[in-house]
Amino acid sequence: MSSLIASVNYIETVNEVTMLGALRDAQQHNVKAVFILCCDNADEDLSFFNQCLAEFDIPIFGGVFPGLLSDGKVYEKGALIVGFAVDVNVSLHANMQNAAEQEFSPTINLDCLSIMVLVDGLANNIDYMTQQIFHLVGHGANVFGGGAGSLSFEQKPCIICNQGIFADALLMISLDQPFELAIGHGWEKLAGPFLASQAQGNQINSLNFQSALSVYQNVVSQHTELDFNSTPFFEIAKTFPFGIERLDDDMLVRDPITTEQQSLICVGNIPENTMLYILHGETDKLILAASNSVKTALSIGAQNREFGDGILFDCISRKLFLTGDYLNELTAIQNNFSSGTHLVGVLALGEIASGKAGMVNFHNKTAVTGLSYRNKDSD
Amino acid sequence: MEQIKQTLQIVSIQHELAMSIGKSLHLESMLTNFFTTAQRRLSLNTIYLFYKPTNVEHESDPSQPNKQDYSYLCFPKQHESDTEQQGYLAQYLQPSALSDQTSTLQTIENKDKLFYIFSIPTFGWIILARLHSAIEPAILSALPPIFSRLAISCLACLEHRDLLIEVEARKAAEKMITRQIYTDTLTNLPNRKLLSVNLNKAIGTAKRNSNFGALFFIDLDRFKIINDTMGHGVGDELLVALAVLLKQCISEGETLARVGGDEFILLMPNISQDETKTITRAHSIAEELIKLVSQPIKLTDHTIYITLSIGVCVFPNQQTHTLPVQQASDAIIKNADIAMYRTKHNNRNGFHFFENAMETNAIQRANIEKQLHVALQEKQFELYYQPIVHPDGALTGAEALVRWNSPSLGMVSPAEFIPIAEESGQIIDISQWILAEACQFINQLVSMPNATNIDYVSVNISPRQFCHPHFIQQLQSTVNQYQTDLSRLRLEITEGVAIDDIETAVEKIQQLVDLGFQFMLDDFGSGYSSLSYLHKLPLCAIKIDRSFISNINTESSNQVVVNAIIDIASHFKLGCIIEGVESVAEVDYFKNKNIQAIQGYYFHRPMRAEAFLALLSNPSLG
Repeated sequence: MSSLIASVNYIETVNEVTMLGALRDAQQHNVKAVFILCCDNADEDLSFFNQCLAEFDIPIFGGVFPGLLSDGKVYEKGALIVGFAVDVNVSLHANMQNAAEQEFSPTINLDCLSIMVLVDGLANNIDYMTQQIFHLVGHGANVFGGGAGSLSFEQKPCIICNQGIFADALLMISLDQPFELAIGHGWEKLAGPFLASQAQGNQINSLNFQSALSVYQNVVSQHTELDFNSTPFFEIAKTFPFGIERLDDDMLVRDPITTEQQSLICVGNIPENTMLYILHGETDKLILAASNSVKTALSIGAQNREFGDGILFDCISRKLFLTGDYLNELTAIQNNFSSGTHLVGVLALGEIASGKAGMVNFHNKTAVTGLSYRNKDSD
Repeated sequence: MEQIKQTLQIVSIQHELAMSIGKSLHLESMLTNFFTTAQRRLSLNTIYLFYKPTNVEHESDPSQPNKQDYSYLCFPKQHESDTEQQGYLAQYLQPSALSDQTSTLQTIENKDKLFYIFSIPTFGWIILARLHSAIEPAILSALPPIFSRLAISCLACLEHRDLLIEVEARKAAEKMITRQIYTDTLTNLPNRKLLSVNLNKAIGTAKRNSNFGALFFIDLDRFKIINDTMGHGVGDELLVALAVLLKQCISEGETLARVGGDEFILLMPNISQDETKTITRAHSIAEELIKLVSQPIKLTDHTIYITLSIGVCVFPNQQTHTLPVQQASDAIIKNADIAMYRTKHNNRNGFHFFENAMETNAIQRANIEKQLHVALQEKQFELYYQPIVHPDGALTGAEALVRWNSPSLGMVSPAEFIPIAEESGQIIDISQWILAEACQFINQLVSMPNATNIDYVSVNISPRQFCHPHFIQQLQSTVNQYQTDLSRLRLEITEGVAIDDIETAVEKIQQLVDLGFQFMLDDFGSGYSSLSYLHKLPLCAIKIDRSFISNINTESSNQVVVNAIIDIASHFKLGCIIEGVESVAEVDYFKNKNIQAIQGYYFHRPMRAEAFLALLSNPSLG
């Protein structure tokens, strides 16, 4: 039986020497591609990626994330060098700021089984690009991935591929490997519904035709001891995200991260006239939801085939919310995987996944796990 | 509370869907916007749209919608399996539903999918596909008004598209008309109008920048003969091929235009600020143009050798500098044309730069051409006859020669007006008149008592006349009309007639010989001097060109040529006639030569018909 992941190496210090050493080491294992998961660390200069990856004749792709996950552990520095045993193709889409004006024509085979998407989580037009991907790919492939970047919310180069390291970019990685997707968040309705009576992009200006900030503060104030006047907005808001109601699926979570006058700024678009709820979370329910989503996915797929390695895009804000309990979530997810398989992943700035109906959605505060099917070699 | 939530939910869905309609006038873009919203809001797997394009008036079978009758859109991207889906869904579409005023809903369950088929009156159907779970009835019932609105927007998009197509078609038509106005349709080169526009601009720019430019008037030599003998198809093909060749000489900002049948103009503005340099450059260009056509041009069924006559006018010059732009433009073209005519008169195949003195000649030439138009009508021509005598001086024949006594120009030399008549085409009518006159004169001769002393009267046939498609018929018709004794008529042709297309010339002459006509080759040895075709032509005699005869008694080189021609004529059993004999010494030279007859001032000058008849009656008058 073959696996998705051929090797996983961790390097604690990231520089050109250690990275090239790790990549050459991975090459020794005859991997077909390398997935670089690099931790955001203000002290490290990652510009060496611009020079050193072109020499490799296998696809190299990855990103810089607030945290890394590997087999039940969380890393907040260093890098994971994950060797893939399957063929992949990579398509880079830079300059996302002007995405709407550019022709979107990925160079990868769109008739593949799965597509992983790595995107600068602080870039504009992420929702637009996920729609474009869905429009092109349709229901042909499962799409999953997440947002790279820094928790400092300062946009900097964070998308890695053979051509270098880029900010404001998106990578599409086609995989000849089927994946089942597990999407879970565990956030529940606290108040609502509210009509997003005025919204544009990721900005909510009014809810129920009143100032969005006032409505939000009025509701949240009743459920927290923290004071909006004396506490940074995100310190409170990370516990009370918005939920966009969907008819046949879990709510799509939107993280309000800051304010602008009377408006709320979220990670991801809020469609105008949509129905919004203010959500709240409980540690156990969040962990259970993430774990159960994997269990459910496994139970659906297991009727036909066995599962192998997994790739997890877990939202950084879940870790910020769960704090010390986050390892419990990771363990709960990891426990669903059989021994001998790998679960690698990242703490992401937003998650991407094909939904039940097929659309590709951009999530916040959600755990997205890609569960690879084992391929039987020759039986 | 739940009721309020549901109401808000429906209002929210309706509002969001409604607001996503009509955001673009481009159908696909508008629908993508709506479909994206609908898919997200209603958690749809796929959306299908069947609609009638605005240009389809009737369905082929109204009872069953045919896929071909409806345009089909699928969101997201259509995969092969969806193509089957299209066929599957089409069978559920009921055309009758489209005539209803209100939208109808039909639900179909297939495997794990639910299809909600909404008819949209007069427009088509929208089908929402949902996986696993159904859409609540309350939400479904809120959708038809949205789809009606969508239909209106779609129709607006389609009408907009049709309008755009119409506008594009109109623009294309306007472009075509503009193109037709400014383009020569045969060669796709600019025509005279566009040349005029560009020349006007060039004159302005040249004045502003103190620059010199040059205009080349290019005329294809003997094109009319090619057209007349090989047909207009070949002529057109040749012009197109020539246009392609000439285009090799032009660069950006220069204009090559076709301004007449076989006339092209090359405009090169802003050559230099130095007039001398401009002239040098124009000189090189003219040489280049001549060289371009030095190789034969291969057409579909012919290979043709051509030459060009070019006239060059450098501008601005003293004459045009002070003129208003349009007049200057006309003058530059006219001057180049005049220079081109100078080239024509100098044996063609070359170029001349315009000089002021040329203009005087051109004016004279234009005047002659103008007067020629009325000359026939007003009977200004007269036929003279120059006697042809035996070597002993006895009359044997006469050559008919046209004379023109113009009331305004006076006596105009045939050397002056015949080439003009040839080029303008008036030669055809003049030749016809000459022939008719000569036939009548022959009839007069025949009725004379001593008519037997005169063997023939010869008439010159111009190249243009010879090449005319109805030459044979016209000739026949004239001699029939006057019942002319053909044994008394001889037709003189020049080498030029034969050389251009020897096969056709032989065929034509042979036909006429078969009808009883006789041909003499005039000016033999003056032009192409090709003996190779001499034996092919069914001639009765040749006339040695006068240029060999002058001072033949002393010019040994001419003696060699003339003696050779006499021998050749003898070899081919052709009569040999000497023309241009003016002195006794010249006459003496031919005393013992094997010649048939002599013509020249020594014996007789050309004379009026009455004088000739008098001479015939009384030879001592000579």
